[in-house]
Amino acid sequence: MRERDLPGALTDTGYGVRMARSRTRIWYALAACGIATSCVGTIDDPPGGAPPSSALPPDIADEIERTGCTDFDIGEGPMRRLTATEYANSVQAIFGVDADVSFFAADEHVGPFRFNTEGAVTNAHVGQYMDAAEAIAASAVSAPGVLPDCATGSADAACARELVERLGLRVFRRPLSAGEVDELAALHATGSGFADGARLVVQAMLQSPHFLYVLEHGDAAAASGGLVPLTSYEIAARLALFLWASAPDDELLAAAAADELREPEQVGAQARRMIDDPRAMQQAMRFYFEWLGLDGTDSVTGIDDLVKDAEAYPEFTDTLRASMKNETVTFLRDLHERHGALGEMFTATASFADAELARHYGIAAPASGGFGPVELDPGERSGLLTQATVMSVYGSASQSSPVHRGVFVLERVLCRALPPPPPSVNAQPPEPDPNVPRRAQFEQHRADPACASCHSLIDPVGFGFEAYDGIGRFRTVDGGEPVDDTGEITLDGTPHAFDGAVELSGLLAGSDDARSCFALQWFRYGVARLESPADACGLEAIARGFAESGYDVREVAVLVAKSALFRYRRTPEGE
Amino acid sequence: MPASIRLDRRRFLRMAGAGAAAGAIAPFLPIFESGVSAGGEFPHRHVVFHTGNGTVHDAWRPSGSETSFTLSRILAPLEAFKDRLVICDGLNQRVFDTGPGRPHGRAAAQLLTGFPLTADSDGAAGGMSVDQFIAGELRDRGLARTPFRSMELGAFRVTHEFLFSGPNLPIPQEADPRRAFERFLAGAGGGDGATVDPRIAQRLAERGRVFDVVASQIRGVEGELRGSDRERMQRHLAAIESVQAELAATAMPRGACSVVSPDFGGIGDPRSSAMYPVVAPLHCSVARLALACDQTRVVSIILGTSGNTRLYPTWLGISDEHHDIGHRAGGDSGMREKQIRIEEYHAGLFRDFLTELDSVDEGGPGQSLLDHSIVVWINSLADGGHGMVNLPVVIAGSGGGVLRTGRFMSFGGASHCDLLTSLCHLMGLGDVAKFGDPSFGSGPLSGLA
Repeated sequence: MRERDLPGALTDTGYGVRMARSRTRIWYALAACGIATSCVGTIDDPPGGAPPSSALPPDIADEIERTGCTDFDIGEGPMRRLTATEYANSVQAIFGVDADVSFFAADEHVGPFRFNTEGAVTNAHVGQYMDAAEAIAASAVSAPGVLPDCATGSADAACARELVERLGLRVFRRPLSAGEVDELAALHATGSGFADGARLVVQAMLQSPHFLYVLEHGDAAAASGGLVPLTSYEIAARLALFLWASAPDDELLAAAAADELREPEQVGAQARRMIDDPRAMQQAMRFYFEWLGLDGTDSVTGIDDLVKDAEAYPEFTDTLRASMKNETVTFLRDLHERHGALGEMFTATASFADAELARHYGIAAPASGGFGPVELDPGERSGLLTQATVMSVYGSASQSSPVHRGVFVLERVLCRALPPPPPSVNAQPPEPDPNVPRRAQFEQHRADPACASCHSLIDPVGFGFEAYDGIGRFRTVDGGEPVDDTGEITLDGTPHAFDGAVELSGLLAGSDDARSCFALQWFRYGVARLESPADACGLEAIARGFAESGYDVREVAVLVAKSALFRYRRTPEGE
Repeated sequence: MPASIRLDRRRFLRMAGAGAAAGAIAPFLPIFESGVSAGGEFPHRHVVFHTGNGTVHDAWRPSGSETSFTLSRILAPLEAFKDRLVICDGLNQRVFDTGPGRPHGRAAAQLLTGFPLTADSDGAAGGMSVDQFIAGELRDRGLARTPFRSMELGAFRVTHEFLFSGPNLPIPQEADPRRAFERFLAGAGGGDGATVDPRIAQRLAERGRVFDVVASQIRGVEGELRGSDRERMQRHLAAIESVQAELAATAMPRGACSVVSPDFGGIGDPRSSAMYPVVAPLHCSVARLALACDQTRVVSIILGTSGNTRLYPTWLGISDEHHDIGHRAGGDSGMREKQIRIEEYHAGLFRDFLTELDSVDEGGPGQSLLDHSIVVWINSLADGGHGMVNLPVVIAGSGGGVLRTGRFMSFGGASHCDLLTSLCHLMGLGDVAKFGDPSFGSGPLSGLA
């Protein structure tokens, strides 16, 4: 593998630094804190060369014109297998049946998001798919509207074909070939009656590679410069998975049938329709919780499972925890519903609480009673990052956690890659000591030159949240001393000193680094892969569109859907 | 009583010794034919029992000499099995210091493969795990023709990968013991040992027709794919074919093996922390049943995976999280005590598992299922702070007399890869020179076998 250093990667901006995953073979050069001299990542050179711009289709040329890019290309992505959520939502949309997928093997991750793009299906998976398909099929054949009308009378082979074609279109997200219909109709004929045959057909469809995987070939005849436009059915499938985590609905299938999902404006119009659907809001919430790690990461516990030290935080009850989550969800929903700007996510002081959470925040309970809008103290709170959910998830069991909070901002909010902690060094946080300020306990990181290369970047960001304890309560004194929550962060290439998380959030709200990271995370969510250097031009076009929208948090999904990165695929080597 | 099992020894041996007769029930494989000699010997089994987040070494290490030693506080629950154990000290996971990956992910993926990770991804193992290797060799060499090659169980939420069928090919563990029972044992038992229940036969045929269509579709798709996508599709097809064989084999009634389902009531969410003390012993019971009925000869039970598994041992009166406790046990006496108590608890679970295995009589005194097994209790970390020196390893059972037990051994910092090599040898695969990355191993542990 060829590697090149990206000096100063942590302070780099935009798309230069990638999350490390095996697929792209991007990984970190420095193995251990004890060896490191600087906190840098490494990255592969992009494979192959970009196609000449002259060979590009006209709609991509438009994107190039917008950005001034001369080397437009698209990164390759692996085939994806449906997640448990996508599987269950699809079954619900197609058959009106609630599928139990609780026993499915855990989904993989691509960056912060749940996607299955690497591992192979094992015997255990096959057994799970078989069991799920048998249970769903048994329910589906008695669910209203699943069997065709002809099945009630003298059911014959033609009726079976109608069943296979109609269900197949939805389950495979495209019309079936004649051969596929033949094969499934033959299976139907082995049943002990029409409904029994239908049960077998549904079983086979739900275990089919055409359902379980997103298989994309594109319209090879329209390929140009190694870039292949996806077919309208493939776009419909992508849109449904991206915006709803589900199967295409009637309207998408009709648009696909008319081959009207090829032009950016056509795709954009469908995306706009779809994001007004309640399913899109659910999917947006999944985006936020996965992006921000609020349902857990490999180093912190998610809000639903969060437990705190009962002695340190007797106030952290199940009801308070639920209210915290409710605040975050309601806050983000509200932001989306009113097409709020990304900056507001970092700076808004208008939020939502019930009496218990209001007491936690030191404010009056909402006038409405129950759970309602509140106004937070602008000297203490500023948007999402200072919410109790975020501070609790990124807090230890009995104290604040500057390292987790610093890494959270750098990796999740700013898309900066950090090397993993050194393997053989005990990554043990200092024991909380009521007589010593938390901040002072972490000075070891700065004092030890082996650790300082990374922690001199992480800790000064995390210290900015020292005014919030392990459950997100505001504090002015810690360890018997006034809280010191001053810090430093480099944004858009410029180092900034700040005093507390309110100032830090204000800096993030105005930074291009945070904006392009937000757009980048939506891109990853949209195409189920990490970016590669080849995607730089397309990502730039999305980022510009995001700026033109006034950083509308809701618009970015439409921009991703319209992007050539979403609508095309790169011909893999050897094809 | 959660479970009971009745093994009719004479029938078992009759079947075991009657390979030719069993062959009459083709197309189903004669299940007891190969692993059991005409003399009526019972097969040897390989079991991994993993617990995570490290131990407290000075509360784990026994005192005394190889053959005259006193169990430590953590291992005290194993007193009744003391003369049937080999306690292995001085094994280091040297692989740990190389390659990419985050500490717990690499600790997990490297433990049983003996290879460094190839990328910063939990699934990017460098090779096959030892359980899968042994299972594959037993089958390929005709030493075992059990319905299932291997069995993978995992109490609690799995956040890291331990078991691999090859590089980058993680194998999930079944988290729900009820599902594991249905998959591995529901078809076993009952009947006259020769004919298949017609309802089961019908279901099998139906599944076969469905699988045929799915397999045909996969074959059609596979040719259009390239590279790793194509490989993934080929593996999917292979898995379908393998499951079909498993279903066919489990449909064959096992006249010699009568299985009563354990009591799965009250499991709730088997992945929840609170259910751990219910689910973990049930996994052990299902494993024991599967081994006793010779459904498989290789079992891995992955309990409490290392890392942020959000295991809160509230049933021990401990409200902190296990991973957090592990990290802090080195510097905080309160946390150290909690870590020791969790380890004692796991020692008790292991003892109960050994007791279950020992309750299956396979030929009189000194001939229990435990005696015919090699059961390894291992931890992917030496201590909760990512330490890799002195992994806690306890081997129980003698593998049919291959292993001399009742010993406490220290291997002076040998690579844990050598333990993996020894595990192969103990299962009769003596031609394995080095398991795992050869640059980290030097052969089987000296003096073990």
